[in-house]
Amino acid sequence: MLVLIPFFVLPILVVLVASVFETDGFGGLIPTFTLANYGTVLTSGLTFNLYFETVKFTILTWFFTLILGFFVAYFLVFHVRNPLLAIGLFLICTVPFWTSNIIRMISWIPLLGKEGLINSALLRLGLIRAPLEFLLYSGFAVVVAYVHQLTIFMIVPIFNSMARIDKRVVEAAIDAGASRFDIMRLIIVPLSKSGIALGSIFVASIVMGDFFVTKVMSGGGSASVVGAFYEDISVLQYPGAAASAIILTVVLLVMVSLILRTVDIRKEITR
Amino acid sequence: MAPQNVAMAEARATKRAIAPSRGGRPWTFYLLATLFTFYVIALYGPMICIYILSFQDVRGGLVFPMKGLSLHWFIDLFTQVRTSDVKGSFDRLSVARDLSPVCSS
Repeated sequence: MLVLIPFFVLPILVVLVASVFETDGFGGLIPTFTLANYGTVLTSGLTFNLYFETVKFTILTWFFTLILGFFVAYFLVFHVRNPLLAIGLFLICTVPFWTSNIIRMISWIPLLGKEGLINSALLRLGLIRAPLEFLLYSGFAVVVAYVHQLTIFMIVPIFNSMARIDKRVVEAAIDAGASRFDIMRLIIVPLSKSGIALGSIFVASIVMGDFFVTKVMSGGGSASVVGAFYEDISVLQYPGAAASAIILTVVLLVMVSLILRTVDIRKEITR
Repeated sequence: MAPQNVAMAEARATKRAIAPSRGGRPWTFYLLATLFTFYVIALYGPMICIYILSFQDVRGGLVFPMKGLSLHWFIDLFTQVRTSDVKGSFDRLSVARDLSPVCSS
């Protein structure tokens, strides 16, 4: 626990202190106490738009990673009979995670581009007349890149909590005449709730805290909260950037605590 | 239990069960297996594309179709160009290592 002090508490405190300082405009900080930085950030309409955009991407990514991750985990746990094969398939899902996020994001460009594989294949099949413009440098591309990167964060915790479900419960439900949908609704989903919650926390906090994917895959068409204060830092507006960082941290904490309220994680993990 | 009943129960289990431990597989297996296959293809496909495209000739960029095979970009990586100098940075590293005893003494 002590390791949290130098690597977590201190940096947060530095940011907190910087957010109430004034700037001299050239990167220097004047040690005073002012809430003007927060005022500037909170009263600007830009902040609202940025949060709207980031939350939009977060919700879309969360939705698709949840659907995909849940059913992939479900397939591996309940449909693959050989446990060794299930673990092998699970490892296949995790191997791409060993390469850089940036390479995996860039690798969508030759596929989605105007002369990319998908467009040329569709053109050759005669399904479209002109190349689809929305594939690359758009919100679509951003969501594709995020889902590609983050589905594994959903699969792992959901797989873990599903693997702990006693198969006999499912068998008993079948014997009692439960339908497939009932089993899903009354057994599988409630018992893998902790995995879903953990995966949601991972995905939501990563997407909210990321700016690079949004910046590259939208071609500069979309901005994000972190991207905005990265710009602030590059023009030496440290207090403003620190204030936005603190606000984002608070928003994320609220989000995570809301997710945690739906499930008692401590109880579920030690189950 | 009469053998007839057992057979019936098994048939029902095959129809209803999400994953019977023996016997035929339910239709959801095939559906989810397809989903899983697509997921794995989407996971590996783009990366494999990048690896193939790295053998692109000098005339082509980061797009298909391939304009001839070459090791141009790998050679480019290890010779000095404006944007990168992989070999040079490794050389500097070794020079720094050779010099470090001199500096410390």
